[in-house]
Amino acid sequence: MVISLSHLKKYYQVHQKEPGFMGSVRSLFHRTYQTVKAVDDISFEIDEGELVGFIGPNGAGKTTTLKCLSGLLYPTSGLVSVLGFTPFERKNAYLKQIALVMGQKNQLWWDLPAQETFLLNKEIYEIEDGEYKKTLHDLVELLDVESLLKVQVRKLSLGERMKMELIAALIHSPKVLFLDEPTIGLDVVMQKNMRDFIKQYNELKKSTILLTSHYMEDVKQLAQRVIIIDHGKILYDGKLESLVKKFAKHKVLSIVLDEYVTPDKLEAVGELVSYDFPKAVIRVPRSASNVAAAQLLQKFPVDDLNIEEPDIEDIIRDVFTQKK
Amino acid sequence: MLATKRAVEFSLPGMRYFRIFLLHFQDVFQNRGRSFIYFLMALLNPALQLLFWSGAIASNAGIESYWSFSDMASYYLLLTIATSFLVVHIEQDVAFLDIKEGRLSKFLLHPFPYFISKFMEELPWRIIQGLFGLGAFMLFIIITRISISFISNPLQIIVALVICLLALGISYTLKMILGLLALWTTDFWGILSIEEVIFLIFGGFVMPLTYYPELLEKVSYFLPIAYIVYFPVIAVQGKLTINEMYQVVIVQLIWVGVLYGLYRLIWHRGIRKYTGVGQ
Repeated sequence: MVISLSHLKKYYQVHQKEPGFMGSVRSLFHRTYQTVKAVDDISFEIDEGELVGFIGPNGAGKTTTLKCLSGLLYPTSGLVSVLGFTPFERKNAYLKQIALVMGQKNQLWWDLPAQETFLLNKEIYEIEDGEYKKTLHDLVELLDVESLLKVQVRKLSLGERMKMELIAALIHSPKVLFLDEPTIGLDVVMQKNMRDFIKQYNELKKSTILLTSHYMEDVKQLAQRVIIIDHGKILYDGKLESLVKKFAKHKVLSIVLDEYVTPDKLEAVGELVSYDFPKAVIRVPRSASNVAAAQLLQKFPVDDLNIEEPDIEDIIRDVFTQKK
Repeated sequence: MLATKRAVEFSLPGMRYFRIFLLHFQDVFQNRGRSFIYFLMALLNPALQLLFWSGAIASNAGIESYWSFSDMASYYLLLTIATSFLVVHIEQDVAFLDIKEGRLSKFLLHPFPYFISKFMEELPWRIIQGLFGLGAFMLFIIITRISISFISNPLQIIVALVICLLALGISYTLKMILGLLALWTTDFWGILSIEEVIFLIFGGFVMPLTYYPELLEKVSYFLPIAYIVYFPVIAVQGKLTINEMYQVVIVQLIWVGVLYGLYRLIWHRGIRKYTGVGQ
């Protein structure tokens, strides 16, 4: 296993201040603290070459977990192993094999072209000239940024800067990549470019990638496996298709009607989600979807019928809501 | 042959650090205008002090018996150069940008010591501002034609250079320690203000420490701050004998050792508190 977490916990002590002036005076003499359990006993393993989506709402513990894995944070307890190293020891041999990329955060020199930062990273990571040139060429080609290499970073758009950030982070060909919301703030075209790049990079380099994102499209397009975390605990760890089967209690029937039917008649089949003639969307229990479909076709003038899984976003939202 | 030359170049100890320094120099050079403004701000205090002393010495013959106006002029001019070359300003970067805003994460993920990274970032600023200082110094001499005395003995010059290098080491390590205190505090401005006052009083920035009351002068010599600017300046002026210069070097070496040990302790304790917020 490339990544192994065993009963990882990361707790913070946060000062609690009573409101008002007297609260301020009291806190001078006696402070009360609350323990925030950012990560609360999570365990998982990731194999070489896997691309895993790590999803959860804000404050779930995703970034904290990534920081523990990359060695930025010391765990409160638990065992963390990445490539056989203990991350928080931050040994050079370990750091040379990983990269952490955080969306909208930059490591590039603002007033110089990105290629100067690449050269700096070349020295920091002690990359041989030949290897550097080849890796840079491959990355520049994949991301199509040849014309931007000599442009000051401050003059680049957000999407262009993000591409340069990726190159800077990958110039040392890391075996393990931690991507924390890499597409945040990017437009839809750039998001797709990023996803395509990550997918190609994973396939070409067989690198292990752990990706957090709020965008379900990132997860759907990239992740073979999904880990859902909320309030510091893992709710689900497995394939995306299995997530749907496990948590999606309903299916959605989308129909197009030839003639108008009153809503109450459609409601007899299942929950009428929306009805804008000629289109209607009906939600039915998963096990009854075939029967419901047959009913609709027999009783109503249906021109077209689709049986669909609910949106991944809806399923995951239900998972979070149920667990609260 | 080229492959061998490259391999040798790559493996020469220090070349990697030199190349990193050059890359940082490029970045700082982009901000040479800002560097010049910082230098002007550093010039202001000695210039005003010199103005004060020129009047004080002219009106009071008693003061002249300590130091002549020429001595004072060289003191404040050298103070300008020394401040520009030797007084490091890394503590705000460390406290605000790196720790509070989370930029430290970038350094922690690099297989390269943070201590050296920040030094490589800071050194170009010192060099560029020091060069401005030298320029201002030459200009002043040419315009005023004041006679300024320096050490001329080769051994004294070498020891003075060592004093200056050690001064830079003390300055850098002390400022790093101060910056890292932000790992324990929510608000760093108080520490910054105290630091500025202490440096002003005990660094020889207001007047040569020899003009202080005896007790205050002795306290100054016990602190590392006097060894950052004051002693390098008077060493170059020739106000120290060679034996006194050796003593300064020994004290500086002790301070470098003590401060570096303190830095290591603070770093290892403090880094566990870092949460990387903001990044």
